[in-house]
Amino acid sequence: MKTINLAALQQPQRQSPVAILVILQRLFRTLIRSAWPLLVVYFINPEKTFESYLALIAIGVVLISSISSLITYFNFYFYLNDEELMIQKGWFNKTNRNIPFDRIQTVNFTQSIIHQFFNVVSLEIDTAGSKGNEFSIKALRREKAEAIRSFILSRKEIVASEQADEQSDEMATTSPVVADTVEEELLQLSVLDLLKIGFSQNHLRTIGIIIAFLFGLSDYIEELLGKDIYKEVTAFLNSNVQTIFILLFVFLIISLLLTLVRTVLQYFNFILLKTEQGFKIKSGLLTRNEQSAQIQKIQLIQWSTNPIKRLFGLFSLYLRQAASTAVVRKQLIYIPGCYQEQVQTVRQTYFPEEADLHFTSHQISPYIIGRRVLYYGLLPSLGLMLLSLDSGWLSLGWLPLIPVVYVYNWYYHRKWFYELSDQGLRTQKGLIGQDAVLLQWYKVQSVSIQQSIYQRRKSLADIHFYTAGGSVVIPFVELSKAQALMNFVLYRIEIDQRKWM
Amino acid sequence: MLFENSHIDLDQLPQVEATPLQSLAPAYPKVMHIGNVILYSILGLILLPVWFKTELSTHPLAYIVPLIWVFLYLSSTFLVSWSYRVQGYAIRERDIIYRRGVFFRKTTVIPFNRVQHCEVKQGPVERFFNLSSLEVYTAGGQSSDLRIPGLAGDLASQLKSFIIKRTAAHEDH
Repeated sequence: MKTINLAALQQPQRQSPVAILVILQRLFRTLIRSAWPLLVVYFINPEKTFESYLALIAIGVVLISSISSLITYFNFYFYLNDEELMIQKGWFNKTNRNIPFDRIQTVNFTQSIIHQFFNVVSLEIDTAGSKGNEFSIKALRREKAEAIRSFILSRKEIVASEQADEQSDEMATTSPVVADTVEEELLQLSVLDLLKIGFSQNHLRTIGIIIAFLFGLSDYIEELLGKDIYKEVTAFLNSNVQTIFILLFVFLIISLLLTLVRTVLQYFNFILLKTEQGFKIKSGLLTRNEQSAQIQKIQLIQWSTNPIKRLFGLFSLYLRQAASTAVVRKQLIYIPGCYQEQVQTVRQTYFPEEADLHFTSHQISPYIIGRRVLYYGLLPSLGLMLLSLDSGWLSLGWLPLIPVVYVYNWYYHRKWFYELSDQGLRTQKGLIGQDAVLLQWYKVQSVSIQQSIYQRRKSLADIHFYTAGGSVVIPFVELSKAQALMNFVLYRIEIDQRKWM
Repeated sequence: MLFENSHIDLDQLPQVEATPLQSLAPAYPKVMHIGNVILYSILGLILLPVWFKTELSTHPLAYIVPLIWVFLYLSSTFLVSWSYRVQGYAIRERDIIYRRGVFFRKTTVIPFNRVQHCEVKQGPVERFFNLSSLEVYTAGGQSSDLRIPGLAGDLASQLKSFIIKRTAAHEDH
């Protein structure tokens, strides 16, 4: 890999000219996203006067966007010094911004089709802070972006060790920047793997989206078909139950196909790499993403499976990093499907001591069954009964829901357990799907114990462990146990000198 | 037995549940009451035009609406004193404890070496009673941040200085 000289990065410089195209594309996208209903209506019901109006507006929009993208591009400069990334931008309103490296949480790459075509990347920087500051340099040559990323990450380590090492008189020498060289490929998902994963995704959600989409368009469909035909179609649907079932089945198949297509596009050529600093993930076809996760920043690990995934031996894996709340989605490193081997590697990297520790296993209180039956059985069935009151006695048909929910949750409670050790926690729950969490105590930011009135009477509590990457809850623990656990975890946090990030 | 093979005697650890909690300032319930009065007056003001302008007042069950309004106001007022009895905080050597909540009781503990920053806030009603609130932020998200209201006079600022000193002493992130 070509090495970029540090000195070159320290001069104010512009991004790659591809940025102009990127800015243009983004402007167009926003316009089309807000104006597409107008376009659809126009094509269905063209009116001649409207046409010339639209043409004028379109030309004006194109001109203004092009000029504005050019201006933005020519007035954007960036450069690095020892401690910060400096940005200068704006023509009318000049802005000078400095981003200290130690406030930078993650540096990721994204590539849209345009980027991929020209072999440039968009450098995305997330900073610490509750406002959720995100920043990006929209187009850079790949070597340059990698050099910048390496430099920032290595400077962060040097600064961190300088702070810890007060005695040392050695100053870190600035050497020519080199891109990460040691990378081990842990996983690469083929199209077949992605199809397996797509098969095991949540199809109900896709169906929900399709139905919502169709309802949204119902007015336009009505205009398209004309009022009479529309009435006939809906009447036909209402009377033929059989047709409805066939349609539902067709819907399911369509949703399955759409999910498969979406999964393949989103995670195309998914690669998981292990680097010296942590992990790297590259994925996507139309938009190619490159995310990196430093070991230090990973707060907790989650993995989950469901019956279909288990058939293929697959797990979904989530690496939750330290994040400001506004950018949580980007800081979640999500691996849509991997095998036991990768889960183990990730666990070992995050928590090397785990294998040698002794974990004691604990169950939660069976009273949780009562709460879940209330929320998922009693209240919904009462609600459904009320809604179907006009069916008379038939509305009682919702009552059997309650014992079904009870039995389900009885097994749910049996499969909920947590494991405690001196250094960390493991939880496992779920009946049909199974979710597991691994958390090191020193990553915890604060602990809370919560009790509802019902729980207070039974001496039970929910205990919450909050981390910078999300929280972990153990519900319905005996109060004395929860208190002892809280005291212990606080002790561990307060004596542990390690940095949690 | 919570742990085996642990070289730490769990009974020797400091216990959150045994820590005596400080109450908030005695004037604080007045702040809560005033807040309630304002809230329900606004609600009432919104309801009045709805009542007179729409057909709501002609509905046979219409009288339920003002009844609910009165009921809610009375319950909130009653809950103020209960809530005040539950609310309490404590500063220990290495962390801060805060308890609150009538229906859902929550005790939160933030170790000083995990504090991101603190703020002292004071609303207009609080200012009138010479009270302020202390907000302690962590990196753990909003649910783990603390807000201790009803601290008299300088207390909130003093606590803030104390916590900042303790946080700096640990030299964590």
